[in-house]
Amino acid sequence: MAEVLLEAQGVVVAYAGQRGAFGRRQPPKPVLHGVDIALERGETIGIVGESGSGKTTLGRGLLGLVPLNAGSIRFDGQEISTLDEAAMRPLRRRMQMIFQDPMSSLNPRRRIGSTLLAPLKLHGIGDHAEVEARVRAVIERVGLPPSVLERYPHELSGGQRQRVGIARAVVLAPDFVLADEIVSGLDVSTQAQVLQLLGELKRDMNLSMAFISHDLSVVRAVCDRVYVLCEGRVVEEGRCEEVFQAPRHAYTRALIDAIPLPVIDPQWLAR
Amino acid sequence: MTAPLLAISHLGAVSGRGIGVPILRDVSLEIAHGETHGLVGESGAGKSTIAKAVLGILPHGIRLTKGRIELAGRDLLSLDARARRELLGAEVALIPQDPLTALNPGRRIETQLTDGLILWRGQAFKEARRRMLALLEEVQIREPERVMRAYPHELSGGMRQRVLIAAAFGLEPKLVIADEPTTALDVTVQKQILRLIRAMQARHGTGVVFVTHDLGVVAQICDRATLLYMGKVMEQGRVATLLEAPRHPYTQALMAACPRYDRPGQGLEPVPASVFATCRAEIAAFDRAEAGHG
Repeated sequence: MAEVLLEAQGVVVAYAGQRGAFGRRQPPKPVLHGVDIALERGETIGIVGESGSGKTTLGRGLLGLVPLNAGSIRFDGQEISTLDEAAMRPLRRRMQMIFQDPMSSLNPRRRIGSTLLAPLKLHGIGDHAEVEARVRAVIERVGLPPSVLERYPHELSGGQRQRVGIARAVVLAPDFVLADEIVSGLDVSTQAQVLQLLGELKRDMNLSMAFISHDLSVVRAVCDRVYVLCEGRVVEEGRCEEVFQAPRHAYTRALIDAIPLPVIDPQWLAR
Repeated sequence: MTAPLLAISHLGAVSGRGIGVPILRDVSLEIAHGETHGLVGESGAGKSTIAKAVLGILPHGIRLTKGRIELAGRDLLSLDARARRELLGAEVALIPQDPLTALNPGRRIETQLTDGLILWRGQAFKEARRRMLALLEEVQIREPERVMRAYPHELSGGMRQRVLIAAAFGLEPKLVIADEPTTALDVTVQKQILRLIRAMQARHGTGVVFVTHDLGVVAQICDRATLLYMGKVMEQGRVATLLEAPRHPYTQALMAACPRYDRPGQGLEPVPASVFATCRAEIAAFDRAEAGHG
């Protein structure tokens, strides 16, 4: 059995309630109710569910970005949910994130080259020449011409921006990458290119990945195993081929049945 | 022979001043009464521009250069603004992509839903409200009275979209234009909304223009479809033919790029550069021919 890289156990997260009309706080609203997840080295897991199911909160939890009310998150054997920022810093290099909307995650006033340099400088990796060489290598690796380094985010197309988002995540050669809805804003032709690139990087760099998506067809194509999240609980978990072939939970079945396939199926709407 | 519900012929549009950049290139399509026609393409293909041209709400800077748009035989483009507004207001409705921006945040649902009937059908508020209450039930809103009294922010995305579907069908229009009405919704909600549009359309005999980028949605809801690339029709016809025996390489490539949970080995193939090159060559040839005529 392969080594587990990232493991969440009994994770509970609740957000503070909103203030009511008289300034009194409402009780905390639980978003995750005891979630268990394990990610093996080199594996890709899918986290699926509808809006409000808690998948983004879970993803942030895996990166140590939200405080847990209960439970633990272990990365490479180390408990991270209790670490302070300074202790987290060396681990951050190894855990990276690709965001949903690169337009809002890339600094609009920085050239792409400067955005890609920042994480290397922050982690004190290499001298100036080495850092530059790494940035050039990574931009080429994601299939963009070096001239992109001189550009600003708004000068790029959506697909190019998402490639930059991927480059920024992998420039530190992380072990774990969280991809949160990274293709949901893209056209199908661009989506296919971005996912193909992600597959190549995963293989070449032996990345372990958590892929959050509402699109089950994409998850089926990209992931080894899948966790189905419903209202903050994992209702089903298993290898993709099994879950998609024979879903055990009614919610999983409903999610799969709701995907419109590009085939003529006169019964689909009524089902 | 009766005229088709909507006939667009040789429609051209450009963006910018002077000669401008072509946005639509000689687009023709016909929609029969009670038919659902998909306008499909990737971003920038011109699908929303066509919908907006029919509604007469083209954004500033985009103008039509040629072509005709006929609604049940009446030439929309030759009407003056007032006559056109009266025709469209009474006969055509829009289901927008984002229900939150389409609804006024400061007015209750009941006042917004009754606007159309009061304005175009001369009904009294009470009468219009009764009619819309029945329509809210038709779009399967469980507590129509509560929804009527609510403000838009108090409703979920799926609920808001149902409200707008009710609003669209409220005037019994002949044509409904749905501009990516389910793109922002979860798949389970999307399915409910598609089912609703289909049922409403069948019951009221309405023609629907369905703008979408999702070939899966086209397969499930449209009778015929037009696939666009850079404002030019790449392929057009019955959806069954389009999906099962696509003739244009672009259609074939888009089908191959669609991920399929039922066929994990297939899909997600990037559109080959050669296919884009073919499309661009077609477009360049068309533009040259146009320039020659001009």
